[in-house]
Amino acid sequence: MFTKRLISVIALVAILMTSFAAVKAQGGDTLVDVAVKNGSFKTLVAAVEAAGLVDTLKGAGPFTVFAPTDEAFAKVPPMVLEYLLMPENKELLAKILTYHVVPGKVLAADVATMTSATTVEGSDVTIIAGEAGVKVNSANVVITDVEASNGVIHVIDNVILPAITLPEVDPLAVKGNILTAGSSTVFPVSRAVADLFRNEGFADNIEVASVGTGAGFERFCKAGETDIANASRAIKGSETEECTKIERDPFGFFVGVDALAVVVGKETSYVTNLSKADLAKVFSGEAKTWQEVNPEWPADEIKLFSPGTDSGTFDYFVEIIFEKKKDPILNAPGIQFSEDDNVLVQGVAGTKGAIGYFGYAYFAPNADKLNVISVEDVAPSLESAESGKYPLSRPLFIYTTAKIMQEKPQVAAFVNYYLTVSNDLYGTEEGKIGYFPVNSDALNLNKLAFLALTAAK
Amino acid sequence: MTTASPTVQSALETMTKADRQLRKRNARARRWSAIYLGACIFALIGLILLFGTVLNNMFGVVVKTYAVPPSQLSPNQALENLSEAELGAILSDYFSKQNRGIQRARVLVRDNLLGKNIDPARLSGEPISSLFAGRDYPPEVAELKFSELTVPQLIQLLESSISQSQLYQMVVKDVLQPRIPQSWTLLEGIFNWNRIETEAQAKYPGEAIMWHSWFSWAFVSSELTSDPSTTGLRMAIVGTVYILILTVLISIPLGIGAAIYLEEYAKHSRFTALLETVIRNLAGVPSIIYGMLGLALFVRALGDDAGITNGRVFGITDTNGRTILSASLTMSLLILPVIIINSQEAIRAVPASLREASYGIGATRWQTVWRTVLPAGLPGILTGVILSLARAVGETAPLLVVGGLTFLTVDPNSIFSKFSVIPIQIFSWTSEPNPQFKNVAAAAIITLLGILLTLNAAAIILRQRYSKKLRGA
Amino acid sequence: MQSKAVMSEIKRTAASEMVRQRNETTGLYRHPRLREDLIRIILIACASISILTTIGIVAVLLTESSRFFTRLAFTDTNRSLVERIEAEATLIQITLEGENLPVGSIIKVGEEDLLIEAAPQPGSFQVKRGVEGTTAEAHPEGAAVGLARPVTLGEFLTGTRWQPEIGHFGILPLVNSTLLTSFLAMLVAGPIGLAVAIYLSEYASARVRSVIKPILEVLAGIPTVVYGYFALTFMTTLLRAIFNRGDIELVGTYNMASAGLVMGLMIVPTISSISEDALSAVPRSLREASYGLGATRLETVVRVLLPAALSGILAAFILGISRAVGETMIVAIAAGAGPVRNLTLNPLEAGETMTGHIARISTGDVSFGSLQYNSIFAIGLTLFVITLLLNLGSNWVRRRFREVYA
Repeated sequence: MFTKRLISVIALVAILMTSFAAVKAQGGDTLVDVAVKNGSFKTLVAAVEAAGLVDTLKGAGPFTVFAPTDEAFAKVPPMVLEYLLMPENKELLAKILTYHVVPGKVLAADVATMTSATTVEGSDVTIIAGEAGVKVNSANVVITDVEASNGVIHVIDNVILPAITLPEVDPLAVKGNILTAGSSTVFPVSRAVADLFRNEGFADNIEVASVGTGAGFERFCKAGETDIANASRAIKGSETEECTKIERDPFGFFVGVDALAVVVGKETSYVTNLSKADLAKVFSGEAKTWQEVNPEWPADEIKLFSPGTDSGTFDYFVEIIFEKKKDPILNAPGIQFSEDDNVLVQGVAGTKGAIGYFGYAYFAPNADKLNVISVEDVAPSLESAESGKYPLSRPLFIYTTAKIMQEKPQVAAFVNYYLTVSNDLYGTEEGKIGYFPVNSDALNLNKLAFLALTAAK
Repeated sequence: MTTASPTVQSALETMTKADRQLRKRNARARRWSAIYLGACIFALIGLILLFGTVLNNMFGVVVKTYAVPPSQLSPNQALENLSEAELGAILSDYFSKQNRGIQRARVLVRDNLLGKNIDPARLSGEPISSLFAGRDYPPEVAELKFSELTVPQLIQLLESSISQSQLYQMVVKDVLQPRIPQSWTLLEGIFNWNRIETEAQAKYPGEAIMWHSWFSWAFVSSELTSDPSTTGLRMAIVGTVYILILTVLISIPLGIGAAIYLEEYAKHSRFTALLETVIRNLAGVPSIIYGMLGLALFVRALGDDAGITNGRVFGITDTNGRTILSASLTMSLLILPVIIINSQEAIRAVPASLREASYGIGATRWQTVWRTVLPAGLPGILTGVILSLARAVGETAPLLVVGGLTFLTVDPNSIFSKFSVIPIQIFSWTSEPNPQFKNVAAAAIITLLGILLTLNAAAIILRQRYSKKLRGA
Repeated sequence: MQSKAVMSEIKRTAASEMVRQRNETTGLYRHPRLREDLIRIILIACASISILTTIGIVAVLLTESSRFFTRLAFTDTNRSLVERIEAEATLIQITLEGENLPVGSIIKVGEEDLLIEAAPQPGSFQVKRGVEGTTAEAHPEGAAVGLARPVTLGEFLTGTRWQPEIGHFGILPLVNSTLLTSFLAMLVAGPIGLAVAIYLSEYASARVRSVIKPILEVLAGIPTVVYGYFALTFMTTLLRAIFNRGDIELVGTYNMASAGLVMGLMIVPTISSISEDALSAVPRSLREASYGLGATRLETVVRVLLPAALSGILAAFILGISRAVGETMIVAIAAGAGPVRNLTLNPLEAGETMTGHIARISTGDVSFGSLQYNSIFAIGLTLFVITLLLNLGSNWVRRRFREVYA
């Protein structure tokens, strides 16, 4: 998913580089004219028209517009766009669009010194200026300083969203049973949300079955017996097809991020960063000693530790590092597999030259025994995991359909509640679930999708 | 004195040799009898270690932390001694400050005063005077709706109707929120108390370590939660009892019926021989295979397709085929062969003279079975049935396939409810990463063994009562 | 069979016709036959449920495992896509090294199956997209290419690798773990169970019996999930304390030894109670004759009783093995998962038994449409056949033993 995003970003940059060479000359045009003429902002322009903001943006200004391209809008589920373009949602659309506009003319050089900016919508966007470029919320600024007569455009690769409020749920007023099943990784989250939902007054049954992502989709798509499928990966094509057969059109809400930590013992602390290619070399047994990976490192023998082959963690690691090929890691000489993360922790901590990986949640309490290493120069952290920059982080989803939420208002209420509270459940402290929250744009996109799904007739 | 003749000499030698040999043989016999006894003692040690392991994890040392320290709420007096008004003030104060505190206050009022199952429409629609008809409520709130009440008003309603100890429990659960972040086993507690104390002081300064039993009335009676410090087992107990009763209702008539047929009706034919073989083999089929059968037959065919086990034909829509009914049917098939075999033995043990006497006075075959054979064989049959039910209670694998590891928020309340059972909870908690769940699993094991013990005791009592009755008759 | 029953009923009715007529005059009526027949039919139905259950089990396992044997498995070819392909593309480029991809074979890229229709140039293939019920979708550059190959019964039964993730479906590693844990269990349960049986039948006083019998009953009544807990929390800790020295980790958290040994404890009552029955069924006269010849108790046991009760004891052992083979929860909790090092004979390693695998996959992350999911039914069928043979064997042996002394 994230690799896809990376590829599309690169493609986008290439396209825009060429197209904007021409744009820069057209100084006399307003912001809207620039966008229209460019041709890569069809969705944005259509949205601006639908929201009735054309005149505003043609006005004196000056404005700074963070303009998402059509490709950025393509990442927004189509039904969300349709929903926003409906006449009755004009206000909401305007709210979102004005969130992309900052009063005044802020050029790239100025942006780099800011940490946040207040938008026309009224709330702030966060700005992070790093070596890789400038980020506005979750979006990367790919082209800067496209000047127009009444302001400046910075092109971004993601739609950014203001805080969307969902209708308040009163669990006391919700009636009827809710059936969920799926991933054992999502299980603790769904269980905690169900627990809270009951605590706030829901009096009927929420079943959370921990049966694995695959079996969860079987119950949801094939047998059609559950209302929500918990998943630690996106739904597969074959599963969507099964769903369509029983007239279910699944939508996945992105509710958390589980990151894998690649760790070495304190005796092996010279290893601080590995690329994905290095990891493949190490975990296939191709490199026998650390010196073979990096000539500057000592010739300590590499010892491998991995979670068991049926764990979602293993699957995910293989998918990212070996492009789904399991042969290399399964045939790596001397690799130790264990289903017990504590065994991995002890194994890696106690063996010279050892390297292993597991869920980030297990690293935090063992930070005194282990060193976590960066992958592709990105260290796992809240920021890098939620932005998707850290290559070994995977999204957690709950899947349901518009129809189910319309037929069973209790499911809609539960999903609404889920989106409202789940982010607060994560953390590394005692009593928290060791995953990372989703970023504000993704969370608000979830909420928009929820509004769209529950509004559709 | 004459020297013994060579023959006597050799006879004597043979005797001493035989004697020595005999002693050797006897010694060997004694040694082996000790070994045989040793085997019995081994079994006993195994049992003791098993119980010891469970108890070692069930009792232990814990450290408790609080969201709000009790000393902060009531600096001068022990919290449990505070008056109702003081406790109410604490609750009121806390809920007013908390983000969604008012919601909790409403839930407490509903659960304690109106009942958890009150219709949400009534709750939101009717004024207080009608909701609380026949109860004490301040006159000024009479015309208000439930959702319009403020936190102090809600707490006032609580104060006027419930006891001080209940209020105290609420303060503990909602305000103090005790948690157990770390635990040690019984043996660790006994031998390493000082080390634990320093460890706990370093990690949780100011919190004392204390002995704790994970098995308690609160554990048995409270609901499943996501936190090992607060979770209970009630839903799984209710699920187990439900499945047990339904399994009894399904499997007893079928099992005894089959046994009666085989013992009293069937002739020696190929069909009967086949039946006998099939039943004996079914008794040895691994239980997980019954789970696969249950999944295909009861969950899929009778549930998703036919709509029986998921209650669709009865107008129930918010459940699926993985219900108590499906689980009970699967369990019934699983224990049926055992019930049949045990009942057959019990029926076979009824003296032929009883039957002959019955036929002699002109009774039909069924009359003989119903009035003579069954009553006489009942103690044996019941013992067999109860012992096979004990097997059903402890069985995990088939229900794992039929239902899966589940978390529920309410007790099962019909045969179409979703379920969890005690063994599944034990399995689920055993595979949790949080180490405190191992303690909780141990407490659940004790509960399960308690239920099994009760069943076995019931078997013994029934057997004795009936055999007395028979002897008396 | 039914007509036979009806015939005998008719005969009996005719024979009692006179009695009936006489009874009418005396007022002694027979109850109507209809009810009796109805009851008989109901009882037959009750008994037939066992047959239906057996048929049900076999039918479910057969249909589901036939799905396994008719579907395609995919093995890795070490080849991958040279460039990204869109959902509509039919000419694709695949890297050169690796396994041969003949025309007419089916390959897998991501979730999609593709049929190779022609190979105009080395590394270039004309394909039909989205065959075998899959959907055509875009695939990135470098996506792995798998080659289709049906799983044969021969491969299933004799293959030595069980790695469904990469298309190896040989059941032997699972069977190996099953046999290894069962062997360990019998190593404990066999001698101990037999010794307990001998002690109870030949040595124990009534008082001692009244102590030992309940212990065995309690052992027999403990749920297997509790044994699993015991194996994981006690036996594994014990084994690790014994075998692990310093850095050398011989015993992992999950190992077959702890599961096997605890399973042995669980099976002791099974073996001891059946063996005891067999021993006590040996006629008194044999014992008396032995003692009369001056044999010690041990000699009587070893030379007379054990040979006489051999078939019963054998039946007990076979039944014990059958229980061990079919046991699920202990191995699911304590033995570990994923027989990565295939066909190991070292019980200190983790291993996965047939039952453990079924339990894990039926509650695991595997996709329901996958071949791996179908495979558990084939394993279930194998398990069913193995335990069936063992049970039949045990019954056969026991019947022989009955014939001798009944």
